[in-house]
Amino acid sequence: MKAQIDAFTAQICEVIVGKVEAVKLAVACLLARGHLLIEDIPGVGKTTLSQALARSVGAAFQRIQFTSDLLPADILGNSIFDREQQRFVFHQGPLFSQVVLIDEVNRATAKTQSALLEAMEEHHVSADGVTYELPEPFFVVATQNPQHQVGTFPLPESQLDRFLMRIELGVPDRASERAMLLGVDRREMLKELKPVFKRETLLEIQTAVRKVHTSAALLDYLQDLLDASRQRHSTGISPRGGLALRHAAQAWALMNGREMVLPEDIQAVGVPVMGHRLGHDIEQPGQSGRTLAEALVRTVPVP
Amino acid sequence: MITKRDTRIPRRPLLWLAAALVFVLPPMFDGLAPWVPTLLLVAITTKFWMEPRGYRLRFLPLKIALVVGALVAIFISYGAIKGIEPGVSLIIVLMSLKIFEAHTAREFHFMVMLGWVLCLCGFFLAQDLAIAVCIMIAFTLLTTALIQFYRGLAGGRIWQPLRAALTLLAQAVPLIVLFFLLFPRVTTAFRLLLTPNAVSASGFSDRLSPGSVEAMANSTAVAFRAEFPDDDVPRSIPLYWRGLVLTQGDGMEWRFREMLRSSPQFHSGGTIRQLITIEPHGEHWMFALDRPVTEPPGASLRPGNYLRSWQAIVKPRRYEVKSSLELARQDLQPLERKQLLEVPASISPRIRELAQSWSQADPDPHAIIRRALDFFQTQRFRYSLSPGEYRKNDLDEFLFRRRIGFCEHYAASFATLMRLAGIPARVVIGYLGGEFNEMGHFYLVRQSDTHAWCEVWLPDIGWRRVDPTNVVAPERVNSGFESFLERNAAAGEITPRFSRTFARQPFFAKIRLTWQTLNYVWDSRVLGFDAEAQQALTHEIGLPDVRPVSLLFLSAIIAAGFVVILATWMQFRARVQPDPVQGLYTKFCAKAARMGAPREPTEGPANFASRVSRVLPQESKRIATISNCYIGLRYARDSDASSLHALAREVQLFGSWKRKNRKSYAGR
Amino acid sequence: MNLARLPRLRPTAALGGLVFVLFATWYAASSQNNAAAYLLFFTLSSLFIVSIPHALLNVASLKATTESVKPTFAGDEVSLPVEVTNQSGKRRYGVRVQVPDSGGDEQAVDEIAAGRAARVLIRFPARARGEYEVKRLCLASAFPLGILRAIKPINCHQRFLVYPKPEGDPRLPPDRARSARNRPRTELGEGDDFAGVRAYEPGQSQRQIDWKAVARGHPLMTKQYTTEATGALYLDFAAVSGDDTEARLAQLALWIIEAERARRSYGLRLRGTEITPSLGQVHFHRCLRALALFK
Repeated sequence: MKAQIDAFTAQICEVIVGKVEAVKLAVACLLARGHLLIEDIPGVGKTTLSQALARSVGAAFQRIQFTSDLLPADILGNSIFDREQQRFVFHQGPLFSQVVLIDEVNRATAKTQSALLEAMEEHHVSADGVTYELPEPFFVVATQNPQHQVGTFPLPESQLDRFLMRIELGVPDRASERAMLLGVDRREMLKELKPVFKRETLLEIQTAVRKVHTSAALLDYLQDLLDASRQRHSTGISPRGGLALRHAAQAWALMNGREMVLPEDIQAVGVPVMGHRLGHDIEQPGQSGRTLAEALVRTVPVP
Repeated sequence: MITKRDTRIPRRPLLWLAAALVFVLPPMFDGLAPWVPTLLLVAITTKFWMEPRGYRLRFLPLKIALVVGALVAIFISYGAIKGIEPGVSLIIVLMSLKIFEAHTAREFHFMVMLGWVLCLCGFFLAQDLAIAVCIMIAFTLLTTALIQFYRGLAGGRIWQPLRAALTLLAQAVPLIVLFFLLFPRVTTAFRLLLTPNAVSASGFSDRLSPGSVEAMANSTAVAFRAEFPDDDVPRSIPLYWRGLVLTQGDGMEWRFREMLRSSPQFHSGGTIRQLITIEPHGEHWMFALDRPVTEPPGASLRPGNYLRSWQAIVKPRRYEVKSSLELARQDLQPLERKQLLEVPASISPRIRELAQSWSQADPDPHAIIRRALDFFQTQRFRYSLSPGEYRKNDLDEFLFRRRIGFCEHYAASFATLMRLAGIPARVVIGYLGGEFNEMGHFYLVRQSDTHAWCEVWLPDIGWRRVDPTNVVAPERVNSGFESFLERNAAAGEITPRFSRTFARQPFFAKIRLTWQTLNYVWDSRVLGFDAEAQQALTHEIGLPDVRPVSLLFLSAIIAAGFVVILATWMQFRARVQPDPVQGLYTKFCAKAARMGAPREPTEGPANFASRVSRVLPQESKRIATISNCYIGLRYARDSDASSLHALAREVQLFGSWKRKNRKSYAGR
Repeated sequence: MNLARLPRLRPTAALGGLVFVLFATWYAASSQNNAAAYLLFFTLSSLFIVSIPHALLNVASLKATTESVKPTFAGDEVSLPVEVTNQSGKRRYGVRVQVPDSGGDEQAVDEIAAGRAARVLIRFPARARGEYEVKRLCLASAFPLGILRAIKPINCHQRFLVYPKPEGDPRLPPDRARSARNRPRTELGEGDDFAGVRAYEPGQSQRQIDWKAVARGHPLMTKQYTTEATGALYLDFAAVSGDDTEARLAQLALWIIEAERARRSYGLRLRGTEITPSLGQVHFHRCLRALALFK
């Protein structure tokens, strides 16, 4: 299983040069059945990363560009009146796909954002009193521009934790950038990507992730982190955040070929999992969630 | 909004308190007007109905009226307001009213304190072991109620507070014993002399009137217990316990009169040492094996060789006394002789003739006694517990017509006859026999063992015991009163007491024996431990003439030491058991730190292992083993015991290369 | 045992009662020379002595940690979450947690198992706006006998904010400073621009039902419109009438709440501080924080 995951990661790394850590986190997020939020300036490869992920899984891929005039119905689907049948027929929106890339999620209005986040959480869409299940696997990669840009609607803080992780890609280092400048066009590369494993294999791995052992000693450490976050910040990590941390760490442990989670795994995924959950601390308005999460990982001792 | 806490008394503590009060009741029902403890019982029961509904006694005039009413009722019941019974009644009545009124936490504590006071009251009314057990149970339950109350409002497990209370009491036992032995028993200058009326009701009196012994024959109450510390229990002879000597004869009635003789008779031959624990009877007499020759503390040996306490015996008392079975002969003073020959004028001529016929036939006193005994033996005298009623002057009636009687009748008539025949005689009352307790090695003497016998003065021997009952009913003397009763019961003379036959079953006999032993220990060792006993004890442990203040200091110092030890022990018991895996890993980290690779507090085991391996490449294999074992034991799903051993071994060996190196350097 | 770290023992009113009962028992015992009463006296005093280490150890190994306090408005209640941990290997009972001199109630923890923790929420009134610090917590317990109260003070440094009490006129001030930088935003709902039709759901405004379609024999449908949202609002301290600083801050606090409720973008101008218009929880608390710390 580790070999498959390694091959999968390696293939994506070929496309996204010099971002091994970010790619691994994205893969972990996928394996942990979470959704991914990528926050960075345009042009660093957010879209490429998500497309590479989708193609490597061999899953149906959809891309939705969020704009300020986008309506919830535009992503979820619409009930259109069918004259022949004399009744409403639900036309599935672009969200009904296995890998969905939401570009610039903070450009849409709060209503549309809420509709998206709700669908992500519930794994189904309700329209006209009927529930439509979303496909399995269902993996949302949302990209977002940094908040201070003009004309954006920040995602509601209370709903941010629907995303398992928030990662930043950042500008590649000089060598990687040169390789990229010299190399083949990324779009060409994407087209040539072959699925590394089938949909069923992915589901299998996702099930295996949940079975990775978390011992009492590890949970002690995890809870110490949660307690510390609650003691230091006005809105600490919620119990749901704690569960997310556990799942992400399990995925990370499996990617490293281990049957049990170590404190190192929690530390590895700690910042991307906790960062956006701590990002709205009113006590420390100047600090980003990332800094706060790093401080937690750096200071809470491993028992 | 800040909500006010519910201050009502929770149900559980109230339940424990109620249970405690129920156990306080037995001594109350024994000694008080029955309405008083009943009121307490009613109050407890009603409280459980009132408390959940929030009802309570609120109206002040009603409270005042109830208190006044209670005072009046107490006065009517006892005819007084002072004294022990009215006082205790008052406390109980106030407690009952408090129960009706109380509704807050603070008042709950007050009720528990009143409960303690009730325990104290119980000990004033009675002190025997059964009552003490009841009161100790009540005390434990009161403690339980307090613990339940202060452990928080939510219930928790039911028996936990009881367990906590028992733990506390068990830990208090050494202190209780210490205080009991060493706490100075000073007698307060101002003495409250409260004598419970109940005490003087039992036992015998200083006169032997027809029916007086009979009244006691059916009482199973304990008179005293005797121990023979030198183990020279005289099994072969009947045990006559001397109580009081009556010298003034009046036919069937004999009375106590101070004898003229100034000094008691001296003994000859060996003595038997006894330790006697006497039950309180409110009078002055004390008992000892016939005849006592030494004076126990606080008592004197009176002419006639009987013991008399200086103070009335109102609590169990333990004393040591020596008795001699034989006494040296002693002459009678003429005045004394005259006194011992006095007979009432009302004696009928027929009796006088009978007595004179014996002395005229043979003036030898021995012969006279033999004839008199023959008279009782041959004239079909019968021994019976229910001989019918005799009056003071019914000597004729007894000797010549009904000829049925009890030990007192035989003793009285025999002594009168002896005096008429010219032999100085007196009646001795006391106890005969007793039940030997195999377990505790002591004799238990009950009120039903009361006996009366005669003593005659013979010129060649001196005073000699003659028991006319022995002639009439020898089995009474030889095998004890209990068995005598039983035999008579079999004959249909007395209705058998169910409890008595029941108690004969082996199993219950064992229980009874144990209970008697415990009772004896309680009476002799606990209740009988007074200031003198304490003095004897301090003398024995090598602290003669220790002052009360020093005793107080001594016990305080020992108590403080005990508390410190207890606290340390409790702290030790409450410590958290360290995890062996974690302990070994900590050791490993400490070793690594000494070698220049300290673990950061936030460093995970795998990261740390790889870092230490870089710092100490020589040990990288061992470090990997340690790390793998540790990770397996601490984080993996299942771990086997062998890896713990491996971890222990490797941690032990870790760093040994350095020591080896150092050794080799040193060798160079 | 570290003596310096031991909790302090304070007698309760019940100690007076106990001393009285003890004295009464001793007096009765000695005056009557009653050994049974003496025994009761010794039992009671020994029980009391033995209960001292129990009372001490019941709180000695307890640890309390505070968690961060959510800001509250003056006049409301501050809720301080406290976690009480039992670090010993024995169960502990009847612990009360309180913040001294806070005017709040004490909270009871009935039972903490060995090695476990219990959470309580201590509430006390928030009096005036500003930043405060909880410096000390007290763990106290009268267990087991209620005669002594073992008190363990615990230092903590939990800071919390009290916002001004929102009071005044709930109507938002007229929108004077519409920022040109703010792009007009659209919101679904009322407005002029037709955006499409959707199936009618009960509760929607009847005015939006596409009655023409109904007339054509179609089921009920609603027309969707969008409108341009109103522009940003600047709440200015200087623009609030009145002399009383506190009253003006109270008014600003109320407006911030109202603006947030109406989802209208708002900014705040205080003496020396300016917060650019925005919306959302972070912004909301940032503005109120500025009001709370205003000097």
